[in-house]
Amino acid sequence: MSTVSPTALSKHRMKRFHISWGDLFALATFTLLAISLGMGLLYAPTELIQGEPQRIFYVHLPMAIASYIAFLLVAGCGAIYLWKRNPAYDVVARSAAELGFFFLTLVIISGGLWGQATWGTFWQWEPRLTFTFVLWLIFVAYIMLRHASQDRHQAARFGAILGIIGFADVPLIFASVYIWRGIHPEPATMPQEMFITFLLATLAFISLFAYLLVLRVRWDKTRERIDELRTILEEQT
Amino acid sequence: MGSQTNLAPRSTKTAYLRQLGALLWKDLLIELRSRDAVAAMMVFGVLTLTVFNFAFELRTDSVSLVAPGVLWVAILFAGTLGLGRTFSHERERGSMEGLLLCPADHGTIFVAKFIANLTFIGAAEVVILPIYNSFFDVPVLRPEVVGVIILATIGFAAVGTIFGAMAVNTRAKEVMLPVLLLPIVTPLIIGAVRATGILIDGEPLSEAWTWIKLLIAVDVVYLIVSFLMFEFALEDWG
Amino acid sequence: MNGITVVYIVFAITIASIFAYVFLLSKRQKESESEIRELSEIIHRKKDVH
Repeated sequence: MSTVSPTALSKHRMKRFHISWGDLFALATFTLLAISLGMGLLYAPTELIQGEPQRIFYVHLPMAIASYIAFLLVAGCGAIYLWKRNPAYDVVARSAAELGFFFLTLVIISGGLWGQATWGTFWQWEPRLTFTFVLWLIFVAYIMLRHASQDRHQAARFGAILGIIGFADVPLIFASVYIWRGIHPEPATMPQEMFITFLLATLAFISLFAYLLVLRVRWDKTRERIDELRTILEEQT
Repeated sequence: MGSQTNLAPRSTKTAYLRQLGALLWKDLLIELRSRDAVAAMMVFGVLTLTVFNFAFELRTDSVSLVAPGVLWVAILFAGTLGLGRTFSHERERGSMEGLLLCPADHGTIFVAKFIANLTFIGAAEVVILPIYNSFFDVPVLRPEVVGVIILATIGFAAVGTIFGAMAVNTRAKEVMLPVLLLPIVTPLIIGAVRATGILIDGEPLSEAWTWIKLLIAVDVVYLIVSFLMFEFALEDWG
Repeated sequence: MNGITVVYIVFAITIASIFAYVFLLSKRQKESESEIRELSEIIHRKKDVH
């Protein structure tokens, strides 16, 4: 047991009041989330046609945007991994994929419940839901492909290939699904209060995505450290 | 490791074509001798049509509505099966390792495999289409419809080639390929079913033009991306 | 289903899922960190033996 010097003790005492940047970020994220949910419930005006259920929009679309960012990261980091072969990029890619799947699942659930309240059915093959569902299936395929891979390198490579092909496919899926139903997404005109709430909510969820991504990547790196230690242990015996 | 193990001097156009021809001929010849994959596709395709025939017998008036979909389900399922088989044979034979050692560009391997797969699925379609025509009394043997079918099959064979090469090296082999393929080819399915449906209803080609444009875009994107990514799929083969 | 009720339900599901995920990640992180401490200790002890 090492002796604790007085200076070390005083440093420790000062550290107790020192919050890390990470904690600050987490605090900001959850505060922002709480504020935007509150605004979504109270501040934003009630929509004329749909009524109250429309408020689901303030979590539904921001989470969809977060999952699109996730998809972008999966494809982008995958591509960079194929190019540079730096495993750090693959860690980000697979973490982003898990998060994308998580958020997209919530998007589908929230969208379904929204539809239940508005149309009376949980599911309809309308363009937005169909597009979201196909994207969700691609995330599932990504996760399954990595699990079925024989080793880490193959998982990284195959994941990158699927990510890139999927990403290139997204505009095609979008076009086909929307032309199929003959609906063209029109830019919606929103009253200012709605728009502010939506903007804030989007910011909150993107921030949440970043926070969860860091947590997930950190855990992945911890796991790699464990593997390193295990190999050292095996070499020792 | 570098992707292009091109030890031979830079190929001229004829040398490239010769390489391509040799690779392609090898795959076609092997299939010609065993007839394994194509036969399986034909049988599976016709069986799928048969099942659908029973499935919709009770409501004959709905047959014309679902007809294009039925055709494409049969082609997709049969095609997926065939794609899986061609690559699993390759892996069992162990011929890919030898192929990767020779100075052929990996891109050439993709083109050869793609054309081979396209030919196999096409051969299966040659059997499936006339049978579909009789089963459902649907005019699919017209040039416009056949053209659309070829167009869609091209895109399907492109991504099918690269995903087939990947799936066969995973632990879940047969299951992996449809899981990868079907969500990705969604635009292809939608475009093919819509275009086919419009044309067999007797509408002029101009009505289906939007969908045909979509199919062309799909084909271009799928071919380019699959071609570029193929070498990464072949890394550490086995 | 009442209009505003479904909004409460969706918001609740969302928040619950987020917290569940954060909780899961934290738990996994703590487990992994303790595993690292264990492994480091074993390696350290083995080094001392040699």
